[in-house]
Amino acid sequence: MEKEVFLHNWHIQKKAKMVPFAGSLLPLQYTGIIEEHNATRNAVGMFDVSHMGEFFITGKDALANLEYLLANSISKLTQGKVAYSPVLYENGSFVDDITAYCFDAEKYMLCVNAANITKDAEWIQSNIKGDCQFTNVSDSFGQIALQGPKSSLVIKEIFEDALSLDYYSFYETSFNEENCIIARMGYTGEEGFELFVPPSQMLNLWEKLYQIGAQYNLLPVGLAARDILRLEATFPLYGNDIDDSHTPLEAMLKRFVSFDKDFIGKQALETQKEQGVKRKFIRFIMEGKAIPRQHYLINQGDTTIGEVTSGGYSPLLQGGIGMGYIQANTAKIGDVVTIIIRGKAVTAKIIKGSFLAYFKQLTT
Amino acid sequence: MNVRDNLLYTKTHEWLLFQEDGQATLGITDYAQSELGDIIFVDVPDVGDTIESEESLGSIESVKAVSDMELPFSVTITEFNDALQDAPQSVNSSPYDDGWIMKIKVSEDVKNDLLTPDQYKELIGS
Repeated sequence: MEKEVFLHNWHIQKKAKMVPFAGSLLPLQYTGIIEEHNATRNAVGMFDVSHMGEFFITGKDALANLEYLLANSISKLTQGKVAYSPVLYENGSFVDDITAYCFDAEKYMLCVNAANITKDAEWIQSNIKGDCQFTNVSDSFGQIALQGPKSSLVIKEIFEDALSLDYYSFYETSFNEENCIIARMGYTGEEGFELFVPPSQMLNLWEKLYQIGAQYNLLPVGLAARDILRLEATFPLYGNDIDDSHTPLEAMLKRFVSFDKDFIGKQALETQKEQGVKRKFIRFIMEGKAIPRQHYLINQGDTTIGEVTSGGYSPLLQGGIGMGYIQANTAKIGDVVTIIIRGKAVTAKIIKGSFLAYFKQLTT
Repeated sequence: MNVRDNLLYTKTHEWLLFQEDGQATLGITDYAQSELGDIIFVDVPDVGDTIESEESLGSIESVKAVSDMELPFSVTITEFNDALQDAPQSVNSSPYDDGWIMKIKVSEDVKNDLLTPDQYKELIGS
């Protein structure tokens, strides 16, 4: 039986289509995927992402432990800053990808993927040592993401200070005298905010934002549109694009790996760096009308060189887009490959950068 | 959900309208289009192809997912609704009229393999 999120009744009242995801029942869509996508790109979208997990890592040795657990540099994080980081196994493959929030050198929060909460908790607890405490606070936080060019107009009506945040920064504040954490970041490629809210205030805050947002054409956005938005922004999704059979070097996430410190998985990545990666991650735009989906094969001529890990229809580009891994030293940026869709080879072009950036380039 | 009285239905949410000459028009039901959401592409085999029972008669791509059409008997495809190439959204807005998908020739009397409007209404709980 799936867990009902704090806003379950609200979603039902709005006639959202609910689907099980990582143990929770979540809204897949409300009014329509394209409409919700467009609201986020052109105005503001609001997402209930309460299924995400939150951990606190505290103690005198919190920083040292996180430096070793996470591939990205945590010692460079100052108070109020956030970092994205891979969490790796010894062999360099992904346990998860997370965001780390620095409260001070002895207190950090990690936000982790819903499907990985139990696995991550076990992994972290089995690897920490010294004066370092782990707390899983996933059930003590709801999470609201407010995303889109008008998101700041909505949030400032309640949290004026949020506007002075830099990208990938956060601060602690209160709502109805309860503690909230507000971060300026997101998973859509738009400007926006993520709000960590105690369960008792989830509905109050959600409804208040919804009310304020009405004048800016705010729409609630479900998981389906969220997946397309993150795909257009080429953000990898754990379970699709990254997992325990891929490394950050293959996934083009090298910039989130800090080789100037020691961390779990470093040795494997150094070896891989030396020998060169055997697979690489690509983004492609369909030239034909068909839509690429996860697990479709990627061919070059008659040879299969890889597989799609995420694919779908981009309302921005009005066509199919996808990401996936291909063998190194085969196709490169600008080349045309084919995606095998129901037995037919449909051509696709490999692009550089994100689909969102590609779209912006087309329209300016 | 709109279920029309002059059509026959499949368990997999296709509708058929039989003509006198042994041909039938095929589409997907109002329920099916609503479940699929925004339809962006209708991918079909070639005219003249014979498609065996429960093989794919073509695919409906929506923003959310891809779904195959199939029938519980074999048919030969005689025509496609070419207007869907440029306006696949007709399947959403008009699933029983402008959004028809193909015409097929049926080799035997297959009406017993299909659902009546009442049986289909029961299937989708409307």
